[in-house]
Amino acid sequence: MNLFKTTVLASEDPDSEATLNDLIANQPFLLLAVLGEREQLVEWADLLAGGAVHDSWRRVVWVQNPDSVSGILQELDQTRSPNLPSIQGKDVAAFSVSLADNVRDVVLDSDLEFPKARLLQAIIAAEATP
Amino acid sequence: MSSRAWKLRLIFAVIFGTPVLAGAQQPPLQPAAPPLLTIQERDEDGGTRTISPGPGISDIMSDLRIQIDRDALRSRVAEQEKDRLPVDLKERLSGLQAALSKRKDSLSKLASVLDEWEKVRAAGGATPPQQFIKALSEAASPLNEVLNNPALGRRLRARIEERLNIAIPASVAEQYALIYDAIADELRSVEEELNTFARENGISVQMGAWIATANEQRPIHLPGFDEYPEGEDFIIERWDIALNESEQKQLEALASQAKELNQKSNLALALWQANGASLIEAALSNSTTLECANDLQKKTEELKDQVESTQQDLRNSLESLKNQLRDFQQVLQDLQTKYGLGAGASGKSPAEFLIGTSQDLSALVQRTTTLFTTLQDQARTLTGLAASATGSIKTGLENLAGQARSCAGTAATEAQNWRQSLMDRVAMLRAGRPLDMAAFQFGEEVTKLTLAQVPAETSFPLRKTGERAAGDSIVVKIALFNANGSGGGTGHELESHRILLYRILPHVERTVGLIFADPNGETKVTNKFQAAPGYSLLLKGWGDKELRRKSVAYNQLVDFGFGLNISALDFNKDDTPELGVGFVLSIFRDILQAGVGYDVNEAEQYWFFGIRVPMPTR
Repeated sequence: MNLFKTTVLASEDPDSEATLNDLIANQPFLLLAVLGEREQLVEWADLLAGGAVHDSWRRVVWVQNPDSVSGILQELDQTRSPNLPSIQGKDVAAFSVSLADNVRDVVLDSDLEFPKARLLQAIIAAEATP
Repeated sequence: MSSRAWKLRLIFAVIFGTPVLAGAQQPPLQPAAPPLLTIQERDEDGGTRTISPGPGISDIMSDLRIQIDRDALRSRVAEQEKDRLPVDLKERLSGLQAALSKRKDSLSKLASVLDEWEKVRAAGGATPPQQFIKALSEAASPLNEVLNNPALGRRLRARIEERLNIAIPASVAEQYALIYDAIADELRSVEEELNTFARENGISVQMGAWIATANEQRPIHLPGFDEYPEGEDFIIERWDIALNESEQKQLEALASQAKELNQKSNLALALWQANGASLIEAALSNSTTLECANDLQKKTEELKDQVESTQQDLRNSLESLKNQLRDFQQVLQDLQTKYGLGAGASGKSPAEFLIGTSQDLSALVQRTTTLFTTLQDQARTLTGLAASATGSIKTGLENLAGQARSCAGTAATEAQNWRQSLMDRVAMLRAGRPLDMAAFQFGEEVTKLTLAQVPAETSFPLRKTGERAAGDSIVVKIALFNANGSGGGTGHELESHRILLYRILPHVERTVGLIFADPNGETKVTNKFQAAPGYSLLLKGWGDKELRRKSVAYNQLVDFGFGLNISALDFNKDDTPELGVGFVLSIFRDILQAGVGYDVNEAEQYWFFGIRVPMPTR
């Protein structure tokens, strides 16, 4: 699998929290975070972020083990809109973080009837609502 | 409203004989936005504009184009039938229409954001500038809104997924465009659903137009909407300066009236503006067309003499050209004789005399215009003949053709200038006659269209609407018809428009009336004023076109004009009319005119005023 716009936070990586924190707090990117062993979603998300050919503010972070960044997820959860489910749930497949570092959409496993469209919707939600 | 304002309105009502309060009594004709119909005018000068609502104004000879906002029409149908429509259809329709209406703006903003991204990236920092974030938000919001619409989200995701399954475009702009395309697909599907519902439930659309004159209302053919035949042309000339039969009769009656007034009351009746004559004389003495025609005739004669008698076709062509030029010269010479200084008008009544000047003015313009066409034709003939000729004849024919073309140009310019110079220098606060909009009912000829059949636009030229006059109205109505309604079918008016017709573009108007001329005592007129019959050629719509377009009150009350006044005076009291020519200003729909003039025969100056008794004929 070739990923171009994705930062992979491997399960056993001890710097996962620091890397994720840097992406959120210090980089001018909109993030689509894919959680767990969902390789196919990561691949589509990378393409939606521009893949090898297009550069924009969109980036993907693949958190293979959400437990390894639980502290940051807990902090981020405070920023989501009240109508959204928590990003700490076991059934969360992905979520988007706006340029202003707020969670703007949460994609559950049950939302994946049309997965690519749903991921794109999550990205657009973060673009529309900083 | 203050009592003073009411009094003023009453005074206007009495003067003009029209119900000035009509405008105030009219119910509002325009529904809340968005409008279904947009009406555009294309005038005879090629100018186009959207007619403003409530009531609008158009030039009486324009073409009108009616655009139908079919999206808005479907929304109205959905609103009207919301209780019977399939669940969510109305919401889906409006959600999709709203998103698509923002497509252009959204993509344009996104393009700007993408252009800025490199700079933002180069600048570094944790967060892009607020301006960047705001612009991106504005670009994405229409999509975010529609994708989160509970009635649309799943349907749209399915369509988007279908497209992404083919390929995931890499660029943000392409992805946005892909979503808008999916929205457009969904909208077509919803429209089809609505069309089917409307068809199955007997819902149709009718649109009709009428012209409302003082005496009647007539339906107008709207292509695509009815089976009415196209109307006959009724042209309202802008530059028609010749008195018509009715005006000539009026002039004759006024001549008798003036004579009576002068005998009975010693009023110094009018100097009538006989400016036509001096204009003719001035035009003739300086005519470059005449000069050109004289020279051309001479050269034609010379060349004809060189052509051998065996070349009969060529000789005939040259002879024909010479004769046509001679005819033109003769007409001008006759006019010179008629209007030269000292020329009299004995034996003619004042009315005959004035009518004659009017006819001569228009004849001068007409003959010069005809000469232009003739010379152009002759130039083509001569060029053709030159092709088969040789030597000096060939050269002569080519030169003659060139000169004929040049003369044609001169004649065209001069005819135009004369027409202009004839007018060269140079309407009551009501929204037109009150109209009962409910009285305009669709006839059997108006087609009941399904939603899918409704054309996006239709148009008609006002000249095809038959006899009409300033102050008449065009009424346009669009309605829903429900065949399953009570009583065997009911109509529901969706929107109606009224457009008042006025003469907006520069034009000439003729008025016939009495003037009261004051010759300042140097004549045999023993009273202060002499009454005289006369007519004015008033240029209107010059300098006040925009006012005429915007204000019904201006058209109804002010209607400013200026131009020439021609009158039949009798300052020397010999019962032979003298030509009076004057500059005249006209205001209050020609009720009041005033100006200064010159008695050509008696060489006397005078000032004058004229009052047209306001008779509410329309």
